[in-house]
Amino acid sequence: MSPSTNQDLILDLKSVNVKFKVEDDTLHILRDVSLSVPRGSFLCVVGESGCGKSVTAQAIVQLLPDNGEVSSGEILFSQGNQVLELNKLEKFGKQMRNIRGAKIGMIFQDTLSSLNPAHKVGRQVAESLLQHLPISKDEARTRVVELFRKLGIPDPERRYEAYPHEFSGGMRQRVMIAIATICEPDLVIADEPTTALDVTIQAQIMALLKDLQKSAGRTFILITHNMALVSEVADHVAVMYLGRVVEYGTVDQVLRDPRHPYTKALMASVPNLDADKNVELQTVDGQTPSPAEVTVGCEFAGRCPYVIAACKEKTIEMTQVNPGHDVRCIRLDQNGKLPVLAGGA
Amino acid sequence: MIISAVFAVQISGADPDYIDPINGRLGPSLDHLMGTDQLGRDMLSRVLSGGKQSIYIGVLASFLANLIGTVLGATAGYLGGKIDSVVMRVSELVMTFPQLILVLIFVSLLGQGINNVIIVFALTGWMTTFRLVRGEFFSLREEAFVEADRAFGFSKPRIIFRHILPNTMSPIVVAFTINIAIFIIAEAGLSFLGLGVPVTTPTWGNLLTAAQNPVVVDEYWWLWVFPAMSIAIFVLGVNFVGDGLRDVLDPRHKSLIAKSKWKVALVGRLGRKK
Amino acid sequence: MLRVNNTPTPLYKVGQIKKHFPVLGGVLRRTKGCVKALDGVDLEVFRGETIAVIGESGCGKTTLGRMLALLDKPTGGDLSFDFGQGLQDVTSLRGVDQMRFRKKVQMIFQDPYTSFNPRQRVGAAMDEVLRVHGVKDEAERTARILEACEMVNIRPEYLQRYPHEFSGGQRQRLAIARCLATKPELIIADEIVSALDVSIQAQIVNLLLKIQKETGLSFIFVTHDVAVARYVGHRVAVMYLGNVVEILPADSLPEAAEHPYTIALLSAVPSMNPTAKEQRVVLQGEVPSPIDMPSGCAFSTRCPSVMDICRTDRPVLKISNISKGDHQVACHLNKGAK
Repeated sequence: MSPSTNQDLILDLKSVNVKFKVEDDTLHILRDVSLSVPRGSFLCVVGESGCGKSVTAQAIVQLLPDNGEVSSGEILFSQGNQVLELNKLEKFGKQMRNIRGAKIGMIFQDTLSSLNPAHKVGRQVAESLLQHLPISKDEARTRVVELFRKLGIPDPERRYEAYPHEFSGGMRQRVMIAIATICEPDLVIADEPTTALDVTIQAQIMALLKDLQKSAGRTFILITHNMALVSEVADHVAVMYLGRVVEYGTVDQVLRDPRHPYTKALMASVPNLDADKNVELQTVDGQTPSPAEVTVGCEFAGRCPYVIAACKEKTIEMTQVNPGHDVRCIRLDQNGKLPVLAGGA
Repeated sequence: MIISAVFAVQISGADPDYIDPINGRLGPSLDHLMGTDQLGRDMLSRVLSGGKQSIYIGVLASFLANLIGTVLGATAGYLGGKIDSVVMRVSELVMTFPQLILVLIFVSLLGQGINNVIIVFALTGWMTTFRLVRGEFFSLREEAFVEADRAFGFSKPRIIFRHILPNTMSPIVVAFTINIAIFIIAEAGLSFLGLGVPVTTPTWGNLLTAAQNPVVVDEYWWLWVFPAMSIAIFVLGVNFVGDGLRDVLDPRHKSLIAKSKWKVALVGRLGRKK
Repeated sequence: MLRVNNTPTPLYKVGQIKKHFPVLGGVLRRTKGCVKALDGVDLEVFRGETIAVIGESGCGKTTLGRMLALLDKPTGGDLSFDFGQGLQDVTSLRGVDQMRFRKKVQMIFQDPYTSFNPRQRVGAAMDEVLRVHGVKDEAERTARILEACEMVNIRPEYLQRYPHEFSGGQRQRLAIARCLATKPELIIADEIVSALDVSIQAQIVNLLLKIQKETGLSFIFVTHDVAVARYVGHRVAVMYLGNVVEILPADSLPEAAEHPYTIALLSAVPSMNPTAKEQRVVLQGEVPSPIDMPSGCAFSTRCPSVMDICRTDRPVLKISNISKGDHQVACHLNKGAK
C-alpha cells in the first residue's frame, strides 16, 4: 500500500488481522491492515475509539493482551540490512525484547500508570539504557541527564532523583519520551501522548517530537484522534474505522482533500478556530458498532450517508484516487469523487 | 431454597423430647435413622429441630448485626467528620475485646437462652459490616451521580438510603451470608462449652456437647457426627447461596443458572432427610 | 451580537468569588498555606446566552462551575440570581428557597459513565428528580419527561433501561433531558463533551444549540477546547489560576484577543492553517502552583510582555480600550477606564 515501492521502508504491515477471544466469542479487531512506513517519515494513525489504532501499535511490538493474537498477515521490520517478521518472533524472547525499547520505542498516554511510582525517574530511564547497551551505571546516568536537558526538563541533575508524582503531566510525558528515545531507536510509536495534557503543553510536546524526528531522521507513528494535530506534524495519514484502514495518503491529500465519507464526516465535525458559526457541525448518526455486529461488507455502511445495497455485500478493496492516495469506498466515481447527495452532502 | 429446606426439616415425625430409656444408645437403624441418645431420644429429630434453632439463631443474629453495621456504616461513611470519628472509636473499642470475653460478660449479664445469644452476637458482631459499608460509602460518595443528586437538591437521607445503599447491597448480602455461617459456628462453640443455649432446647451446638466425653466420641459416634456434618453442610450451602445472590443482584449480570443448580443439589440433601 | 436580549440585569451575577482551600501539613496539621482555586472572579450571565469558560488545568473553571451550582460554598464574594424580582443572594438560601434555586439552575457533569445511579432505571431517575422538586401530579411528570426526551432524541421506550445499557453520548443526552425536565433557566455544563468521541461531541454540541434556540435557556459551558468554546458560546471567558483574565464576544476570537495568556492559548491550538504554526507563541515554563501564587498578576511569571507593575499590582477586569463594548481584560497593557 501506497508510497512508491522503491522507498526505504522501516515498517511494513501486510494484511494484518488481529482477533481477540472474549468469553465464547472471537472478535475481529484488526481487519486486513496494510501500512507501509518509509524511514524517517511521520505517520499519523487517526480514528475514534474502537477503531483499532491502539491495537495496531500493540500488535507491532507484540504487546497484545493475552486473549489477542495476530491471526494472519505479516509485520515486517527492517533493522540494518535485515528484515524481521515481528509477529513470528517469540513474544518475550531475546530478539523481541532487544527490539522493544532499543529499536522501537513506545510512548503511552497515561504517564501516571506507565511510570513506576516507586522508582525515581532517572533510574527508570537509565534502566532502559542498561538493559540494551553494555555501559556502566555512571555512563548511563550522564546520558540520561543529558537527554533530560535536551528534552527541556529543567534542573536535570536534580530531577534525575525525583519521583513521577513530583512532576507535572507535561514533564512526565517528557520523561516517557526520554525512556522511549534514550536508546536511539529508529522507530518511535506514540499512542495519544498529549490527549491528557493542556493545549499549551501539547504544543510544546508536539514541537519536541517533530524535532526528534527531523534531527535524527527517526520514524514516528503517532496515534491520535485529533485531526488538527495531525495536520501540524504528519507526513502521512491513515484513517481507521472499526479495524480497517479506510483512507491513506499524505497529510495534504487526506486532510485537504478527504474522499472517504467517514474521513469527510470526521473533518466536518470538529470546529476549528475560524469555523463559521452559522454552519451546523456535521455529525454521523449513531455510534461506532461493536466488531461483532459487522462481519460482511463495509464497516461504515450502517452510518454512511452514501450507502447503497452493494456496500453491505462484500469486503471493499482500496482504490487509488491519486498517486499515493488510497480510499476504501465503492461509491467513488472514476475521478475518485463521491456523488452529490440529494439535499446536499 | 434453603429456607424451605429449613422448614421441611421441621417436618420430622418423631418428637425430639420423647424419652424412651429402654432404647437408649442405639446405633443408626431403620427405626431411628440417626440412632438414639443416652435418654433414648431419637437423634434424627433432635438434629432436625436442633437445626431449626441453630439456623434461626444464625440468621437472626446475622440480620441484626448487619442492620446495625449498615446503618452505622452508612451514616458514618456519608457524613464523615466527627460522627465518623466517634463511631469508629466505638467500633474499635468493641473490637479490642476478645469476642469470647465479651460474650461471656453479656451472657453472665443476660443469662442463657436463645434470644440472649442472638442479642449478644448482634452486639459483638456488627463491626465488620460497619467497616465494609463505611468503606463503600466513602468511595461512592464521590461518584458523579451522588453529586448530581446533591445538585438536584435531594435530601441527605434520600441520597444515603435510596441511592448509595442499593449500590452497596452486593457486599452487604455477601457479608450477611458469611455472618450466618460465622454465628452458627460461634453458637456451636458456645453451646459446646455449655455457655450458649442450655441443653433443654437442642441446637447443633449443644448436641455436640456429647462429644466432650471421649467414650462417646469413640463408641457412640452417631451422637456427634450427624450434628457436626449438618453444620458443615449448611455452612457450605450458605456460602454458595451468598455467591449466587451477589451475582444475581447486580443488574449488570446475566443470571447464573449453573450456580442455582448447585444450590438445589446441596439443599436437596438437607431437604430430603425425612 | 452582544446582548442577546435587551434586559440590562443579568440572570446570574458572580461578584469577586473566592474559594480558598487551606493546606494542612505537619504532624499537628497546622494550616501551612492556602490553595486559591478561585481568587476573585467576576462574571455576569444574561438570559438566553451561552458563556463558554475556558482555561487549562488548575485555572479553577470546574470549581467555578460547582460553585455556581451551589455544590460548594465560596469562601468569599457574592452570588446572586434573578428569580424574577431582581437579583437575590443565593449563598444563604436554605430549604424551600434553595430548592427553588436548584430548579432554575441545573448541572451536567463530565463523566457520562458515572452520572447516573447504576441501579436505577433512567426513567425512574428522572421521575425522582421531578418528585423531589414538587411536581406532584404523575401525569405531568411523565409529560415533562417525554417532552425532554423528545428534545434530546431519546426514544421513550428506552426509559425502562439501566444506565449501563447506553453509550456515552446517549448518557449525556439523558443527563441533558434530566435537567430539562425541571424547566430550568440556566444549565451549567462542566466539560460535558470531553469524554466523548469527536463525532459524538458534534452531536451534543448541535443539540445544545438547538435547545437554546427553542427554549431560550442560558448556558455556562465549561471546556478546555478553545475551538468548541468559540463555536458554542456567545461570549468567552478565559481563566488562569483562579482569575478571569478576559471576557469577549466569541465571534471576535481569535483576532480580538488582547490578554497575553489568551493570545498564547489561542496560538497553541493545533490548526489546519499552515501559518498559524509559525505565529505560535510558545509559553515557557509551567503553570505555577496555586499554593505559591506570584504576587501581582498571576501570569507575570510567564508573560512575554511582562512589565514591572505586573509583578506588584494585580490587574482588574476593565473594559478594553481597543474594542470597547462587550470586551473586558484584566491586564496592565489595557489602559482603558471603567
